[in-house]
Amino acid sequence: MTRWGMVIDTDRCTGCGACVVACHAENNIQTVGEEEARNGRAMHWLRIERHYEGEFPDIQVRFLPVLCQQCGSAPCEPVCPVYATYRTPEGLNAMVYSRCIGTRYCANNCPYTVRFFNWHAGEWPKPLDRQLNPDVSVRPAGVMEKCTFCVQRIQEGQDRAKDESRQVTDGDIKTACSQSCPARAITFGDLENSESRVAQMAKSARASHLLEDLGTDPSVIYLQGGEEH
Amino acid sequence: MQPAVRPGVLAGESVWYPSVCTQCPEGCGIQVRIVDGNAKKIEGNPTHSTNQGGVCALGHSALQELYNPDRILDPQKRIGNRGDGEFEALSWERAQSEVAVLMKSVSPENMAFIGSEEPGLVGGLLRRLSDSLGAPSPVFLEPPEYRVERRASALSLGIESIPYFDVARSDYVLSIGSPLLDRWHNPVHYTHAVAEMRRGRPGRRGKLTQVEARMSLTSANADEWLPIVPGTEGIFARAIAGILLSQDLVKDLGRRQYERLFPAPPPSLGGAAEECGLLPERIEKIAHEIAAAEHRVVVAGGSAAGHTNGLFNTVAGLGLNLLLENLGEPGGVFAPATFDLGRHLSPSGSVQTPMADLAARVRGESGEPIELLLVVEADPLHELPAGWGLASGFSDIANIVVLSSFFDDTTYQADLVLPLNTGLERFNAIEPASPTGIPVLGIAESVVEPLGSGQHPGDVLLAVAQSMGEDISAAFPWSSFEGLVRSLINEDLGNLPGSRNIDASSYYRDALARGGIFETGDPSLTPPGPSGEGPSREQARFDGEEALFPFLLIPFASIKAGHGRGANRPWLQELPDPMSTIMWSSWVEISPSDASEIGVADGDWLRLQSPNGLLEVQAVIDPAVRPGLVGIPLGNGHQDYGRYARGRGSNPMNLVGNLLVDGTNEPAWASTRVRIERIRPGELARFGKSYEQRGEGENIPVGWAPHETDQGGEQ
Ligand code: SF4
Ligand code: SF4
Repeated sequence: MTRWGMVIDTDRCTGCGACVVACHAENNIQTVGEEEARNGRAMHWLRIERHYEGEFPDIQVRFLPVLCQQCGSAPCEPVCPVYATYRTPEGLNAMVYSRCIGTRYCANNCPYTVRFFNWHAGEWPKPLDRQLNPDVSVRPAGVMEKCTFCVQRIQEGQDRAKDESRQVTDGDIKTACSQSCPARAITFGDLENSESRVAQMAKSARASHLLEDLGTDPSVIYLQGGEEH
Repeated sequence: MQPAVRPGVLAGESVWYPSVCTQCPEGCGIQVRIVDGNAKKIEGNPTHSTNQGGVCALGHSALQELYNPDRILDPQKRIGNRGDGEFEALSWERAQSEVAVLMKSVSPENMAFIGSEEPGLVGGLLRRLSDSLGAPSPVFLEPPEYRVERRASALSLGIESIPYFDVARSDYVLSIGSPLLDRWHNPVHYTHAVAEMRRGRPGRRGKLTQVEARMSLTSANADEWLPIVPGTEGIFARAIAGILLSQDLVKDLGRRQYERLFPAPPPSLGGAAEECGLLPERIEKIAHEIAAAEHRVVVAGGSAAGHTNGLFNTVAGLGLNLLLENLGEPGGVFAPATFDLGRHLSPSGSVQTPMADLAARVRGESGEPIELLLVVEADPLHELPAGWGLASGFSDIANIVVLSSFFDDTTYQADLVLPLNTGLERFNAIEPASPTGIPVLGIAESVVEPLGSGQHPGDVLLAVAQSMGEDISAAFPWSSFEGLVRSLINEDLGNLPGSRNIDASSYYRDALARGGIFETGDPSLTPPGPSGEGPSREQARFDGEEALFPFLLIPFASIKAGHGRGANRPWLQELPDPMSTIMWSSWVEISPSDASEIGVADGDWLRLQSPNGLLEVQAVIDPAVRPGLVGIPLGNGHQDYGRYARGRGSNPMNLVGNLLVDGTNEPAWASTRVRIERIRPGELARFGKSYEQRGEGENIPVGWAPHETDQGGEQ
């Protein structure tokens, strides 16, 4: 069995934002413009949280890339009245846009605030639309969306392996954020495969989950940074 | 030119083609995903030695430059008054013949040329053109600290270019003012290097110590940040030298080399520490740490080079590498490696006109008056300090011809615009402006069919030269820019890697398929050492009296818009700044104590006034800002530049005056004082929470919880 997972090494991440733009490019995420961004409606499936510790002049900064944690026990799933969000056999927390009726219950119940509602249909003034990724649907107004672990790239990797009559090997499939990261802070792979890099890294003494005490069983693992580790 | 769908590619099939990023002068290797002739995605070329598969936010956004709805697709001629922004399209034939008439009728000494980055083949062509005409040599627009850094590098290390810092293999990186991880030289390369320094060698984690007045993205990522009094970076470096020398922490060779650069004894630790606003014990601790590290390097530049004493600061910083014997050592400092194909185009050592001299000509203060100004892919009106008076001087120039893809601030003032194609539509040949330790020449064919009639700047310059008389056109025998690059490669073939036993055309074809000519490996060129004595210690001077203008302004290049180029991409406008999380606007960062003193709340509109100008901008209260300092990102505040940038935010260069860095002709952009007045309340578009909302309604809760692991895995 496969369980897709991700390990983010916060000692590598510098907050450069490349992954955030890569995610927009890959996943046809709309930009909402200044007015709606001010209303809190910008849609970044992946965000870089910046945390301060201490006071000037002894102030430290930590960056934390936060995306859908693809929880094994996802608080967003049971609250959807129409089963628009569910867990796939490969451990993805999937979103069926055509089922979604826009109650936004899932977003309210997500402790990581990584779900975004399409208040409007996206706009790509011509010829900006020529960039849109044909493998990813453009979401209409009124539906919820979030990080998919680049499911289309997973699909593509699996198809490629099948065409070449072989198994998917570790490192074959990279999410867009992981591919673009100059720091190599994001590693993607199968947590169930004990040989995979993510499975190895998950054993690190630096490893932890975000808000672990909530019992959401996330598929994203963070490695803590800093000199003390 | 690429057909919409290449032969052999099926409709709907997705194919990746190698290319070179043109978004900044560093030329990272990229690959572009093409489906049905449209470019869908940019990823880093994983085999490329500069960026190893990574790209930065700006690099990704090249797609939104290519498909930007506000591109200039055909030549344009001004019809209204200059600066009204009214243009009409004309054919290339007519546009080119108008340029030819101008070039022939204006006498060469009344011409002026402005190009973008200095090294590079297009720059070489521009220089060759001005040389053959006998016109004043071109000036190149690049971040002004680069030239200060080059000068400092020549003095301290004996190399005329930006040194390469082998951060990845270092155990201790002391960075003095240099924003390694921000938009400085190559953010992709150095971000990778810092990550490798920390986690690339199991069991061995290097340390980054950042000495910088402002909390940049680099300071934010440092293991230790020393918020130094701005303008005292050089004194700090000298104090470190004092400790290393007096406590015998260095060897004889290093001591001798360093004393050639600075024969005078270093300042006393107590006095220096007081000037720098740091505790003497802290400076001593840093000196001991770096002395104890096996592999270590001192990086200097950035804002330290933007003060009036920037040359001293940078020389004093880089000079520490002599003392510590870091030259050519693993994890130390290297001379950059380059193929330098451009040397065939214009003799090296040809005189370089400083931007300040050109500005004086534009203002009509010195030199020959300008009757024809040719600007190639550069936006000096946006990037240079307002105090240089370019904007008003432009109105006296009879003819302004600009080569550009967009109506940026300079193009807006043009009489004639020759449109350029964008990076993905052109054949590219780029050597990085700040090379790493391994030589690279990125070459790639266009990956999409062009959207308009725009051309490569090299091709436009060739056509201009060839329209001139025989004596000039003879110096430009190439049929196209690509033809020129091929002939330069042929000429140098014997010196290029992997060229043995292969004919020129196969070599070239392979290079195109790979995305360029590059090797992998470790840097190897050792800088020779000091070429003379360093500048004597000076105090930084500031524009504006402290009593009237109590705050020091530090403009900075953000990862969002860089120096301005990224401002027309919706992705970058909506990308939250990593520190402030602001989207779609400019902001001024101010410390909580200063904010409460002048009664400013987060988001308030403020009026900033310097001796040179006024600016309105919204406040971000930031606990990491040094009191007395304010930072404003560069890149916004365009007059036009399309729908996403037009009138958005403000440009801090409008406040900067004409102080120069001593010993150079470069603007001291980190030397302007301002006063601040609150105008009205406001609200910013921000993705995170503001300082004032901290702890309130934790709807983005974050925290670490212990994770049950079986311990003992890797790392
Ligand atoms: S691309 Fe990598 S380094 Fe940059 S913000 Fe994302 S995770 Fe961090
Ligand atoms: S650093 Fe420069 S060349 Fe490299 S990806 Fe970014 S913009 Fe492109």
